[in-house]
Amino acid sequence: MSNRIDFFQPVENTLALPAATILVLLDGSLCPYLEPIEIVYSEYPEFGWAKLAYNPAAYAGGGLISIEDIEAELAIGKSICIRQIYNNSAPDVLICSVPIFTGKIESVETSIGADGEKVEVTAMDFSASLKRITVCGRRVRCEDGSSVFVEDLDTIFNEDGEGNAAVESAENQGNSYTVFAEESSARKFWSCAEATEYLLCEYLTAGDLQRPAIEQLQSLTENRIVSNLDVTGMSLLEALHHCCEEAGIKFKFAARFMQGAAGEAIVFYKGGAGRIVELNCQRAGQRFSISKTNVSKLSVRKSFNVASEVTATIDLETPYLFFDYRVGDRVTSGADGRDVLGTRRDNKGICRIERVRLDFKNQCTNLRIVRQRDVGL
Amino acid sequence: MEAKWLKDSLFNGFTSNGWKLGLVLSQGWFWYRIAGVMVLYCGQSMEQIDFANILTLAAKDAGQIQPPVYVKHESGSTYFYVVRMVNNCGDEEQTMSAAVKISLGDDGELKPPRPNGIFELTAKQSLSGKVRLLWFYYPLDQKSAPKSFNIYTNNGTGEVDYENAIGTIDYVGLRFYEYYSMELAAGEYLFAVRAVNAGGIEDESLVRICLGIDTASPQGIEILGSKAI
Repeated sequence: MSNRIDFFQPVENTLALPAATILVLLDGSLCPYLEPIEIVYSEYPEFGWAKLAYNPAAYAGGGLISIEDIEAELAIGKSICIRQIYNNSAPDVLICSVPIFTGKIESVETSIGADGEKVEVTAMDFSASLKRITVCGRRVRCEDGSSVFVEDLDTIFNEDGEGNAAVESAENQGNSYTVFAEESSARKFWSCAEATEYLLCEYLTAGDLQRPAIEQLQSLTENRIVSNLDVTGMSLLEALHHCCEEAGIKFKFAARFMQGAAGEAIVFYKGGAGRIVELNCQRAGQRFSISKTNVSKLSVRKSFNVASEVTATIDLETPYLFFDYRVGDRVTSGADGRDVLGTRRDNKGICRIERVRLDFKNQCTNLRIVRQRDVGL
Repeated sequence: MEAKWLKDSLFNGFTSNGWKLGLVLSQGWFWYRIAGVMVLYCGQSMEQIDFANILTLAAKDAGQIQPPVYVKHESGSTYFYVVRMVNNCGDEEQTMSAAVKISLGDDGELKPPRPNGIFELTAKQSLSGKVRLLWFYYPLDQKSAPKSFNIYTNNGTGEVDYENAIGTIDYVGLRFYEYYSMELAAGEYLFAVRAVNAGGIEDESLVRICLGIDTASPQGIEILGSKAI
């Protein structure tokens, strides 16, 4: 018997990368006729969405749905989950999948023309649900520990600079969280973490969206106090944005692999304080290697935005579809390659990923990176 | 030199690893493989690779590596081998990317390569009492290309009969595949789909799906009353 072993060399020189393969689940069931065109992950106010196309060619069966009936099948509000396929047991083979996008169908565009019949579906992440909820009223803690929702009052945290949160938390629909205090009872200041938790617990049903514990939020916001924040009449998304802005943090939505629990989570983070990823471009004259170059196109716009302290915006494309860049990642360049992002020249600034677009049609990933003054991370 | 090899140095290099790495030549004082080296490890599974003991080693640019002759490979067993590179200073890479699985059949020979198992098998009862099976095949890291898929069932009783396929669907590429059964009587049915290559060798997947067939029509409702609102 010959135990011949083929080695995988650490440096890959060929471009023979397989096209990314993903699965689409419609309301939890395998959907053979939808294929993704693009997936976008972004920050406020865009957030995440996916565009998919009806493609009968991807399906070998005969039970196809006609374009006239497609709207009944792809009804608005149905859940869409896009999963990436991977081998979970190398060197053996055990094909598994991990969710990379979860959302609900927001629109279906159907057209019949010279180019043929076309159906495009757009699914939005949980931000679309939060946009539809309007913040109003206050939940007030009663003396006996119960709480009551008062619609007529405005939702103002620490009104006129005075604390108006109840000292003790209240129970409501299985959640225990800080609510507003009665006029005559003891009060304390709302922290950004408590205000954020109040909004999430008050307006969302438990299990709809995974969220971090209050202790994690307090740590991330460094226990900052809210100053006279009026969110009355705002959408829940906008209200959360204002709370996070006060605390100097951001939030995004992410797909989670959880059986029997919410498939989406809200993730709070500090821009640029996440993990560090490298984007490299070889120097001119070197032999091209995809292990050393993951930038194929790049454009830089320099400007100065005083409010956000952004000094440059960089649009970048990778030579292949890469799934693992995330919004909030900090970007650097290796010492061996070109300093195309300017991270080595400008040691007073940081570069962070603001938007990620997975382009399945052209099999590449587009990144929007912003360079900003170091905010003391 | 990596801390991993220091215990071999403590015994003047007179250890199994020390002999293979050449540490014994300097009584454990110096790293002798200044050109770098490849080392081979073995285990019963990827989680049980014995990285404490080097099986054998080869030059850094060697195209192949062979386990020592004293390593026995028993019939009906599976072995995993991992190769790691060690640099000129004795630092070892920490990846598992260069790994291979060796499965031996009952005859002691290497098992023939098989296609991958199918993925995301779903079953649904159609209006006519037939069952529609839908699955996906992904050729990631496949050892042998499939030619077709065999469909098996238990016909409503017992275990799945893997001896007699009830249908065959040809493989035509990276697509979704479906199969419609004959009209079935009410009961609980098990279905399984296996990919089969040109040599007639099937994947060894035991994935199956259970579907209850209900042929009874739902009872009509009685309208107790109605009013305009």
